[in-house]
Amino acid sequence: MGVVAVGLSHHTSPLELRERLHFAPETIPPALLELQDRLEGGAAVILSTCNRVEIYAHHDKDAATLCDDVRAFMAEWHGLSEDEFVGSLYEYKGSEAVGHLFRVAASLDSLVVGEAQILGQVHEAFMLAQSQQTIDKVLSAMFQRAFSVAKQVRTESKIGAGKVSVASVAVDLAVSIFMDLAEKTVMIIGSGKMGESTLKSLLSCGAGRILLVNRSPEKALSLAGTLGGEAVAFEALDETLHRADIVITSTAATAPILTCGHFHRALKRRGNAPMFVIDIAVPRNVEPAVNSLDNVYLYDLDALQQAAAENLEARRQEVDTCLRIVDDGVEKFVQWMRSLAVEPAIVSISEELHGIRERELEKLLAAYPDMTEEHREAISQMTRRIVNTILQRPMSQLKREAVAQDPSLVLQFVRRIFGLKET
Amino acid sequence: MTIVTLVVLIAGALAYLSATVGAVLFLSREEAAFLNVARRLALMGMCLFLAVFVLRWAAWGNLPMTTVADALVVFVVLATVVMYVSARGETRALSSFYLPPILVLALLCVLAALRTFSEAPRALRGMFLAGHVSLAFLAYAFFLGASVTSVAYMFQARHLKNHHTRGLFHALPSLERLDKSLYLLIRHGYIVFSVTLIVGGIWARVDAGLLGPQWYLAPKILQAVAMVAFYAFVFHARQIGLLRGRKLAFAVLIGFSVMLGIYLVRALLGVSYYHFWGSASWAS
Repeated sequence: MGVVAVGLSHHTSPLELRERLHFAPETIPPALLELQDRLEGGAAVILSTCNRVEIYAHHDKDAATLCDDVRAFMAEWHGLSEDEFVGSLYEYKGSEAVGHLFRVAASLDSLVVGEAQILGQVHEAFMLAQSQQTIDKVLSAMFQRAFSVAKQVRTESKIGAGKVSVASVAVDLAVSIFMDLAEKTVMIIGSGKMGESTLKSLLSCGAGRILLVNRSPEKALSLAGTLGGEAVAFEALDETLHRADIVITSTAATAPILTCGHFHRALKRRGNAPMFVIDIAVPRNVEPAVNSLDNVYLYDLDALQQAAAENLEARRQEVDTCLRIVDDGVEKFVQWMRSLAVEPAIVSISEELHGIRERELEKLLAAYPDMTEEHREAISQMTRRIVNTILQRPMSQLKREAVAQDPSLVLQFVRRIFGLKET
Repeated sequence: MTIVTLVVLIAGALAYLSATVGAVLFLSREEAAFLNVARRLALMGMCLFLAVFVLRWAAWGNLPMTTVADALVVFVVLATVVMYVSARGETRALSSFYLPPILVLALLCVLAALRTFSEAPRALRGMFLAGHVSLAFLAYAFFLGASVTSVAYMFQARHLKNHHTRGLFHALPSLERLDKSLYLLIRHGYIVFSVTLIVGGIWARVDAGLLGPQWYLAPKILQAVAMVAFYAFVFHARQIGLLRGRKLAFAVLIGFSVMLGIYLVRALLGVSYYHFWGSASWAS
């Protein structure tokens, strides 16, 4: 099978090398056309993300030659010598290439196993190749199958369950505490990058109001303008804390700025309604004992990272289940590929038998010139049905045989029986 | 006829048993399919218990609510209804917490149906009986629901506090949703139980000869008054924010357990100024 996957990823190469071999989105269309020229036909898809650069190709020529051509193209396109990257390169041929694509699309080969972004990237790469008409029946079917396998993996396993970044874990926890984020007020104290990213994640999930607290009133006002919240003076923190359902702290303070006393007072004023406190600062901004207060749930950076790590570990435990689904998908695809080998023979046999039918029909119709048009059509239909019915079973069997044994042997045998010429 | 009733009752209990197995599988494996099956089996069990209620009604000619077994049939049906009403949509995973106690009630019901021997007193009939007893069991069903929700709340709160947020944690509703369900169940139970006591009081006044002159001193009545006082306190404390979250859940669970314990001790020791039950076995 002349299907190959040639490339490198975060598993095999450092970032500097991936950067040098990266295909920018606008360069992919010309690169695809250039590659197709170099291969003298065939089909190709270029997948280039921050974690991988891969070329999938299909051609009638043998897989080893195809790999050589793709490798040479990569070197030439990027102005590198093959020696500079060949050590980091992997080359998958035939069913291994199919399996690799299925694993990539199902996010089993990703840096963060189970992340959903890669499927979209594979889909984009496929669409781009389709728009440049550098895709054929085999690569098209291979990518379509990869998408359906990836979907199956996500629905039949927990590979996508649980969040694995600090910001998304925080959002997940907020959803586990509160019914509707739209009715909640988020208070952010300080202006650390991670705090802002967490706030943005909460806002994207519909968090309602924002209170921005900063030691510098100008900075608080500027952030309030950008994010659409209400600026609060740092000195007013104690009086305002009870208004917040979710508190994010990310200041550079070296001692806790929020203590049990603050939360005692806040809880009293808010009728003991629950509070979720996300302390992303190092050193911590919130006294750890706050977590022992009823209705206050405190997560510091360690706790968030631990939750993310646990979720990632849970995903990793699902990998075996996912690989079984992928293997099953590869097996089915390889079977389809094998059955494809006998398709030209099937078409030839069908044409041969229908040719005989038409010749005999012509003779019959010439012998009975008085026959009405209706009768002629009825006889033609009947003979067509007879030929199709006769062909149906042996052709299905032929496909099965091609899957079960070497398709070339099956083809040879069929050609001999029906006297077909090799195409 | 009575054998048929008993067979239907046992079939109902078996449906609840299977439903509980499904619920436990859901709790351990977190696969929604188990919960779906459990809920369907619970519905089947409830239908069979309803059939028992109808068969008993047809056999006795009065609303069957006064023997222990009959009362438990009503309780199981109402508890299942409360489960379906409060554990749906986002909170449907709570069904897995409801089903084990409902199964215990269903099994106790089968045991009671097999072991009780005398028929219920004929004097206990009429609209007062139907109103008072069904309201009481509806209130108990709400209190049972509140206790079950409390367990789920404490489970969620504990996992959040300890930063263990894997597994079943994600299958259960948010803390705030549980808190709201808990509040609603307490409120409904408290209101229904208050009405139950009022209906019971009127019944005792109207039918003065039935329960004796000092019916209000009966342990059962005193316990009911204590219950309503407890839930009144819990309800109002929640409303003003004095009791909320884990403390509220803990109070509800402890309160319900104490009431249940007192009820069982009283029933076992036969401490009662009057009693309603003691009926012929359904199978006899």
